[in-house]
Amino acid sequence: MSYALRRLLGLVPTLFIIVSLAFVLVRLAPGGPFDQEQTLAPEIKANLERAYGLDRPLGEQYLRYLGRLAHGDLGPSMRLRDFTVNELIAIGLPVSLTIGGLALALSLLIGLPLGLGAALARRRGLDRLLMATTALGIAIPPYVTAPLLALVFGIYLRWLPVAGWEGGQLRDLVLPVVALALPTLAYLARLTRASVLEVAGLPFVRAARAKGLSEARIVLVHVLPPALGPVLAYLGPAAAGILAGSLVIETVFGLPGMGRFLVEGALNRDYTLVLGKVIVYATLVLLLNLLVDLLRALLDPRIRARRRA
Amino acid sequence: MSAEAPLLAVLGVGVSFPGARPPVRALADVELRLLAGRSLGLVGESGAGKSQLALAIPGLSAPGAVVEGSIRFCGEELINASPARLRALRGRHIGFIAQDPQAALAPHLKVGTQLTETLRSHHALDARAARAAALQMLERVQVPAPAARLGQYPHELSGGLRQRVSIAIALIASPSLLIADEPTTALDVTVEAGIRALFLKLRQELKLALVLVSHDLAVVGGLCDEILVLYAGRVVESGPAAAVLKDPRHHYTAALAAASATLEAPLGLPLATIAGSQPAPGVELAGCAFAPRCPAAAARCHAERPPLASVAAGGARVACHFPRASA
Ligand SMILES: Nc1ncnc2c1ncn2[C@@H]1O[C@H](COP(=O)(O)OP(=O)(O)OP(=O)(O)O)[C@@H](O)[C@H]1O
Ligand code: SF4
Ligand SMILES: [Mg+2]
Repeated sequence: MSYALRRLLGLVPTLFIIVSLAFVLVRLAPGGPFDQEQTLAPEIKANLERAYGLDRPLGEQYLRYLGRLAHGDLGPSMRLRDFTVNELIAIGLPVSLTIGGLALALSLLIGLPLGLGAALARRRGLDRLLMATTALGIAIPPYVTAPLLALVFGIYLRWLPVAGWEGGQLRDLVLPVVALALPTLAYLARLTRASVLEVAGLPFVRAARAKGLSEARIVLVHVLPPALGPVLAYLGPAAAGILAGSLVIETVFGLPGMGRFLVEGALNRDYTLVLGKVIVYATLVLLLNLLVDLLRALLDPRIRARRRA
Repeated sequence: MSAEAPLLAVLGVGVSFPGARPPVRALADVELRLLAGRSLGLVGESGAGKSQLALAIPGLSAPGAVVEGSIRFCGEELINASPARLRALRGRHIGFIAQDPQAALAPHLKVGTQLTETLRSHHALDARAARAAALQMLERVQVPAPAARLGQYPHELSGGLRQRVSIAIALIASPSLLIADEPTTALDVTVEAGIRALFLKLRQELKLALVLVSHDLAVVGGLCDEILVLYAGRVVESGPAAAVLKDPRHHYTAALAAASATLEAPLGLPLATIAGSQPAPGVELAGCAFAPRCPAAAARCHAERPPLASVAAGGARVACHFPRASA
């Protein structure tokens, strides 16, 4: 437990670096948040900039931002002036977490058994079929599958709504979650297959067979736990991929998630909004990676031993 | 001797890998008999097919291997036996210790689990009874602090201890036959001596039949009643250990014996004194496979493969056209 806590604290410096880099990168782009509003009189623009502290030296702005951030305050949005960034995230995050979390869960729930099944059916029909379809699943990105799914199931078949979010009903979730999950699901299936096949060839599996254990026990107790290591390790990158994909998916299906306003925010130089969302995304990925690390140690006593040393 | 029904009877066994490039015949025409409670040493240099034979007996040959011939255990044919039947025999009646037992323990499972699962997959046994049996078995193989070991993982044990645990796992369900593939090779000399002593003790205590694989004649000689010498996948000599050791009739066995005698350390290069090497995998010579290296080779040796034939009343058999004279 204390180890988990230590690792959690260890995220702070990483996050600090990410925040600093993001702060600089956002400011490197030419122009500012109030440039595009042609109707703005120069004195009003100056007033606005003063109100948001943009007239101060960059270093001071940075320190002030960090000070607020330490209290969990991401500041006011510079373009959506009725909202703070915290409020915008509070609206978007649950939506994004729902579809992202469901997509990840779906990928695991279907990808792992598929991969295991393919490994057990090695080189026979089922395996070949799975390998071919998953290759396709990985190759086609969500921005292609999403409109296709919407077209087929929403417009031709009329089974599911094409877009919308009425309080996150299941029927609204199906298409975006499936579109988002497909590449990760396919990749996880292939990874699981490769990992299971590799472990199944190790000497200790033959030793398990020499003991007369049932095939089920060999697969579930001897092969699967070590084979899950690389699969779990991929969950961090997988989550990052799903987050990136969710930007597109939310736009295609008109979902009020974290992705909404982010692209406009970046184009309009809504510094605080972009920065705030980047920080939330980064924190999510870091936390998930930490969780994955802790899970892996649970499966592998050698990792636990190294950690104690 | 032939009156008693053998525990293990292997006849005309071949193991080949037709899918390999080039296709490999790892074992051909192997024949052996082992009575209950007796021990047989399988010797030969690396690649001779010792492991392939050890694996074929309990049906553990690698996928892609084609096994032919007859392997009878207690009179029951094991080749083409159903997977369920083989599962019931493995662990329970035939114990197996793989080459490199260090790698044969599952890294993520506690020693206790690995011991008790064998027992519990063959007998209806509750966790406490299985644990008690595991403790007893660890004591029998002289593992210090056995109770603590049950909760440990393999990486927490020394090489010698891991080997003892592997032996305990192979023996916990009281098999009548133990197959041990080079059980001492990966260990240092003092640990190896301890394991050898343990094998001697266990054989006496458990009345176990043993197939012991080694590339060292001396190791096998000290532990086994009979010796079977493999060369390039074929039996070249078999017979009572004392006779084969003292009076080897095949020129390859003689070279092995000389090599073993000149080297104290069993981990050394036991065949350093035999120039040349076995035919490459996939290459099959028409005559005697040892002919290219044999000091006594004649034209006939290259043309005609010598059959395994009796040379002495004691049961010794040799595959050689011109066996060495009896000492
Ligand atoms: N999967 C395989 N495919 C093709 N050939 C194989 C395969 N496994 C083993 N062989 C061949 O079988 C032959 C015998 O191998 P085996 O492992 O039985 O030798 P060994 O006597 O146990 O040697 P060592 O002392 O090195 O363990 C070798 O020539 C090897 O190339
Ligand atoms: S058959 Fe010929 S070559 Fe082979 S061992 Fe005998 S003497 Fe040597
Ligand atoms: Mg071997």
